[in-house]
Amino acid sequence: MTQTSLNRIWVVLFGLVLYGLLLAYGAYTIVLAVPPSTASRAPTGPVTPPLRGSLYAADGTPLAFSTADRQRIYPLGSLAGQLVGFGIVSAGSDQGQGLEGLEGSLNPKLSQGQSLTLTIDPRVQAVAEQALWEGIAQSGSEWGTALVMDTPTGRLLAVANGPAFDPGDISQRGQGARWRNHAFVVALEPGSTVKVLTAAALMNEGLANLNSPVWAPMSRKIDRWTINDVVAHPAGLTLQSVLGYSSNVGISLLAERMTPSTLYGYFTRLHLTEKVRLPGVWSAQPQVRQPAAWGPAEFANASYGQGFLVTPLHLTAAFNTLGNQGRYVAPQLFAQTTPTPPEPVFRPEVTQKILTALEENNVSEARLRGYSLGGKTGTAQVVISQQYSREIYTALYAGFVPAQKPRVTIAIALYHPKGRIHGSQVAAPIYRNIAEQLFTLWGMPPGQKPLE
Amino acid sequence: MNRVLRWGSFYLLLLLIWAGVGALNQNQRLVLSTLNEEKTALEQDYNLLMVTQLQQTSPHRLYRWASQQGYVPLSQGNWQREVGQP
Repeated sequence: MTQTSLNRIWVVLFGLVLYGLLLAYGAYTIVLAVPPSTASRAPTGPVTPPLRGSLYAADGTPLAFSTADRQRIYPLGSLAGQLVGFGIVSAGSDQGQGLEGLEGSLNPKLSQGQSLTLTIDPRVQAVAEQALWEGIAQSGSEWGTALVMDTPTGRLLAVANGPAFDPGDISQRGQGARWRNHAFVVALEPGSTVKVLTAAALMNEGLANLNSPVWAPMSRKIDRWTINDVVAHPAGLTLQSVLGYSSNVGISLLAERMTPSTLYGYFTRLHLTEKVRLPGVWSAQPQVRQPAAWGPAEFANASYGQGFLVTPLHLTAAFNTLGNQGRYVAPQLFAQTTPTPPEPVFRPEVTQKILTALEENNVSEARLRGYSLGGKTGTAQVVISQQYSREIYTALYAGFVPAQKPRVTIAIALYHPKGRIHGSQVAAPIYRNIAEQLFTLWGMPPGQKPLE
Repeated sequence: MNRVLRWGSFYLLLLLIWAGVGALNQNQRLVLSTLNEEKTALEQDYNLLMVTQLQQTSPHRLYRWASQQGYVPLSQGNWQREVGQP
């Protein structure tokens, strides 16, 4: 064997060893530790569900969204907290489960990754919440709600509930019912606010006008029941002064000019007898008995808002009809929704007279110098264990801003205020506070038209 | 023997290319992993910043600020200054 052959053998051996080592390393790097290629990204295991959909305010502000690690964030905290609601915070892999508010009712859509934009204006929402929360604290109410509706379109600009609730703060979820969207899911007696609707029905039927006289003492017996008035007034009243004194006796006497079916018919056309048409949103069924079941006392009760239950949302939409030239528009909560056509209920000249009467009769607690404000107070007893409580009341106010050619309709309800219980005392100031802030937002100085 | 050397060199070249591709892939994988970590961190930062921004500019906070500054409730005096009246 020559020296050259020996050198070649070492070269070949070295080559073989290197071959083996590189083959092993190459196999490791390419086969075992290969970076994922686009071709290898086809799902092999269970499909990862899409991120839970977001909820946005009308201006695009996120009210609820999910991060890539599937945490649910409520960036504005208590703003519209009860409306937005909350769910189970998902732990990494699933979609979470909405439990309350829109998180609960819209869970089928949100869990499919569908995002929704609400009609809520965050500034109006904040204004309504600040006023409501202050009003609840001052009146000692158990809870309260305030709705602001865009009068021509029925778009809900604010759905405020109180006390404040932050859906991101888990510790607040066990604190009573502060998480509940009372505006939609609690049915209440609307009380004297309904007198305005009764008056509009009478005028629309041609059975009365604002100057129609009525002899209305401070109390009246119907069947075995006695109807009492709260505010002292002379016995000789007109329909307008009946509204001003909020006379139960007066409105019940005037209401007898129409049949119970006629009044119920207006309730039906104002959609007070059916669930509010907000698809996919939880709301309470109103409780209104058929007129066939009304005796004289029940008819009288209905004329001033007792004996039936509607949600504050129902009341807002019904009142909105008066501000919208007598045309009912269904409440809207989603920006993408196609509005339903307005449904005429009252003649425009009737509602115009009603608006004027409401402005003239407005309580001092709901007046604002230099501005046109109007509405109607209500104070309703609450039924506890099949009978009216003597301690628990609901204080209400429903009105317009401005009172002439309204831009928004506002309804306030306070449940179980302590001490001062009347709508004029505790609910009307909240309305005034909201109106004052709205005028600021709109750039509307007192006594002037809005600044362009 | 020359043939063996030629094929050996050819195999060696192929193996070097193969190993080079593998090493490149390893490196890319490392870079991708780092980028993914950075992306996750940036997303968390973005979410935190967005939430902070939304909270700092939330209507409630703005309202409190405006109240402290005396802008709300808007007095008649403020309105008069706004519209240029005496």
